[in-house]
Amino acid sequence: MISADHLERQLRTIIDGNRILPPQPSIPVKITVFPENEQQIGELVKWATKDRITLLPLGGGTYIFPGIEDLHVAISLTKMNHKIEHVSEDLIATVPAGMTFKEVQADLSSHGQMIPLDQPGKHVSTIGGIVSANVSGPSRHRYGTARDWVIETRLINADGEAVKSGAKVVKNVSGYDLNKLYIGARGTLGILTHISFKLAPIPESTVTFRSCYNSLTDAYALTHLIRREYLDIEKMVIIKGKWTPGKAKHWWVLIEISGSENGLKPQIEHLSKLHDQVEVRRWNITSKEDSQHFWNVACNREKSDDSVPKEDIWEVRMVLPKRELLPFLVDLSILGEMDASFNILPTSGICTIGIAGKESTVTDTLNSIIKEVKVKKGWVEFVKMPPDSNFERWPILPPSFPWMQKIKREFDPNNIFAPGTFIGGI
Amino acid sequence: MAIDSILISKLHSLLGENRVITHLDELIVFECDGLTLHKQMPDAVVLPKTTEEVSEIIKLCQTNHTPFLARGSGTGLSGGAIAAEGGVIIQMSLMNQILKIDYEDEIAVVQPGVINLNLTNEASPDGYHFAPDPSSQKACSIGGNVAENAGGPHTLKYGVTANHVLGLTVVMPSGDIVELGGKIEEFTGYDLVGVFVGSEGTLGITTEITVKLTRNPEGVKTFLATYNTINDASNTVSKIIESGIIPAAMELIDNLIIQAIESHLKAGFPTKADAILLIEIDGVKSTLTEEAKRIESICLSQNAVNFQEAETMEERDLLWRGRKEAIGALGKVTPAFYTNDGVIPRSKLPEILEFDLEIGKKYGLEVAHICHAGDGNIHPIILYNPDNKNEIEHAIKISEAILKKCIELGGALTGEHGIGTEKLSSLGIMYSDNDQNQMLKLRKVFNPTGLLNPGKIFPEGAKCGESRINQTINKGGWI
Ligand SMILES: Cc1cc2nc3c(=O)[nH]c(=O)nc-3n(C[C@H](O)[C@H](O)[C@H](O)COP(=O)(O)OP(=O)(O)OC[C@H]3O[C@@H](n4cnc5c(N)ncnc54)[C@H](O)[C@@H]3O)c2cc1C
Ligand SMILES: Cc1cc2nc3c(=O)[nH]c(=O)nc-3n(C[C@H](O)[C@H](O)[C@H](O)COP(=O)(O)OP(=O)(O)OC[C@H]3O[C@@H](n4cnc5c(N)ncnc54)[C@H](O)[C@@H]3O)c2cc1C
Repeated sequence: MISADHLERQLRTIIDGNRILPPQPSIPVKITVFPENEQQIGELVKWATKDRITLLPLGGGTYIFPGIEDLHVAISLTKMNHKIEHVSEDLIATVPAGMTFKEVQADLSSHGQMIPLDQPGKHVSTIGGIVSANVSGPSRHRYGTARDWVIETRLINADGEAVKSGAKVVKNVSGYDLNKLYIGARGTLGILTHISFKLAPIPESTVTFRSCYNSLTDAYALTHLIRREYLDIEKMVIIKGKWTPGKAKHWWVLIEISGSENGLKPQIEHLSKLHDQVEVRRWNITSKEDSQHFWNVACNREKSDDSVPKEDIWEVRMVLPKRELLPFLVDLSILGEMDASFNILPTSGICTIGIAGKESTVTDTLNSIIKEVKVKKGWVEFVKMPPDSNFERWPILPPSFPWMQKIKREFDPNNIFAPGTFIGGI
Repeated sequence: MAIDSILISKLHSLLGENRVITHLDELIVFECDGLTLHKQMPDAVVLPKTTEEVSEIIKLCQTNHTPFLARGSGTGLSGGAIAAEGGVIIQMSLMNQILKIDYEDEIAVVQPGVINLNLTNEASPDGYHFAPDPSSQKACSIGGNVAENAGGPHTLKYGVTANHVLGLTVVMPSGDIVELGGKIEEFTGYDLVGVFVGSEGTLGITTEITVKLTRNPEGVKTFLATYNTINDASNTVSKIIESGIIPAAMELIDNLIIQAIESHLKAGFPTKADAILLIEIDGVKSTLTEEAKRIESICLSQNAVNFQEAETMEERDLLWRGRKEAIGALGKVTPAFYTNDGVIPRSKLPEILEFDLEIGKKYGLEVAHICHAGDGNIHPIILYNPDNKNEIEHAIKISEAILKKCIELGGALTGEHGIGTEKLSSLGIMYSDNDQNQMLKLRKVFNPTGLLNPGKIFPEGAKCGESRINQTINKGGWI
């Protein structure tokens, strides 16, 4: 057992004492360091390799899960230099990984530009954490995921060296695209220090439609209709339970459309007419303030005004072929339950389900979800679960899993980067 | 390396005599791809029909320590599809079926030999298309597109091949058949599809591909902006991007190419112009008129002398035909040419174009341009006489100098053609040894023996291959 004291003594030889702190309670490590620059990170990695120390790359700490064993040192990049390199005429920005997404977006927005990914639930989420977690929200309909916007990365690898992949250009096939490997790798392949993004222009104006339904099938009918129409849809989500912009027991659809002031008018008319073609309880165009609040609720950034009876302790995210998602959900026994919440990206085949209840009462439901999704060749991740649960966080391993293990072994041969925290114990 | 006769006879018993080519006069077709600069004969070419056959071929090659690689249509422009160290070419053209089109899921499942345009033609009656649209789309295969991460004029808005591939069936260099990704929008674990796309056929051989289909836009507008100086045209490009408009396509064509196009077919390009921009916007109809006005005013503010919209579908098609056939037309103005694929941040467009012309002058050769300007992918084309050794050398020097300048300006060596054998020696100006070693870890995972497509991308493994490649430029490459 390596003690926190021992680690601190060792760390002080590399890094200033005031940059070494005890960990936050939710972070499963013994100690946290806040390096100042890439060189220090490199030294930390070399030290870790030599002394068999494990490292957890850390951003805002909102999406950290315990591994098979506790790790030793968290490396937080939040106290490194916060300088954005933004070339607005190129629509490209290079951003330090430890900066918060919120800070970065605020800076870019003064030039009318943005990284078109969803602001996650917490304001402390960092660029490095968002890219490494690669979770997407309602903007995905139009903008895809980090994989569509990251063009260059700098990473401290297992040798402690800073390595670059890609370039600050929008099109590039020079060498392997390792960026793709690091996106969504949950810190298991190295520590990202800088990330360059393609940017998108912020739309001139947007309008949000909110509609309410008795059943999921009715809600889906609207999103189905829309797929056959021509509209500039910025965001879209179907929700029930804790994510709703109204009564939690109903199904809701939120849609944001965008355009210039003039270009938007005919679209508003068009989308209004589409609402009349489906079995909707009621719908409206929401005010600016309401829109912001509703989207915040749908994205976990604020709590819903209506509460679900019991706080969920399970959250399961699943991806299925688009056409399979509705029939799959309709067959779920918990669909109508008061304390089950749903967050659905219908045009991407993605759904997150929040469930309350002790493990003994929900085991059958969860097992049947896993079984069905597996049959349909999708996958499941437990985003939230009790710490002592018997469920695997990733219960379905893909057929290519052995190749993922080989990648981990080759890129992190001493198993120092967040070992045991990713799929299948990687 | 003479190929082992035992291997040949095993290939015969696997595929039958008809699907194994070993005669020199038949092999000659495979000695180069679209980059005629680099030539190397394979020892044999085989034509599998199934994934399992590909797997068996690979296992035979591995047992015999014989290099092997896949080849699609051979339109690649960086020497990717040549047998740089000899061995067996696995020609994918018999695996050319569209296996499934599913409009509900907006995907298609295809074999790698399917020609890019055939998929779009198949889907277009239902209002869909396959978004990556390389100018070679009538000929190139989707397997080749995946390997090179191909782009096209409409990449500007719709992204490159990597943005449109969901799943791959791959035969690994070990012979194992593995599914990467799936028929879903996102996959779990490491993004293996993401790293396979653009890996230039050096990590595995793709035998089935699941791609996204893209819905055709409601409206399209195509414009031709005419300029008296190429500088004004290139300044316009970043002004449009900076204003927050991402056109579907924005191509820059200079006078030399305009002349060639107009002598080949009357597309309606102004032959006196120093440069033109071919700009297309698409999307929801109600938004296009306003966008068109903004683009027009930016073009005029940057000294466009004329700005006109294609009024009919025929006019639009003709403009695009001119663009896509420009390279074929170049044959009318030069006996040979060499295409460069450098990329720069788009605000550096004026600077790099000026540099290209200067460096051309310095070496006494003309440099023409047909750029995917909105992407900063510049495609300078160096005109030379293939019978003049001096000019050949100068063409290569010009190209290398341009690539160096692209990197200095913060750009990249290649936007869509790949490193292949062509740019091996330049990789080091973009990536340090550490950067390259990090990439080589990936190759070691999938291709540990190095027998799959050796002599490509990385200079270290190329030494033996390079000496075998016959460096002769004759008719020149394309874009
Ligand atoms: C709309 C939306 C809502 C969300 N709501 C929630 C929610 O309610 N609850 C929730 O838990 N999550 C939520 N998420 C997930 C969200 O992605 C994460 O909370 C966030 O992205 C993590 O950022 P972070 O800085 O807190 O990263 P951390 O939690 O610190 O790290 C996340 C992962 O990335 C790795 N990592 C971090 N920085 C680096 C780096 N520099 N280099 C390499 N690896 C690194 C870590 O090791 C870890 O594996 C939401 C996401 C979206 C898009
Ligand atoms: C006139 C012309 C215009 C062009 N315009 C463009 C353009 O606009 N945009 C663009 O991106 N490119 C362009 N190109 C280049 C070329 O067409 C593309 O790179 C194309 O993707 C190559 O496809 P192919 O089938 O010809 O591949 P090939 O040339 O046969 O092979 C290219 C590489 O792919 C590998 N490969 C092929 N099939 C497989 C497979 N099944 N599994 C694994 N590896 C495989 C090969 O080993 C090789 O390394 C152009 C070429 C020409 C001649």
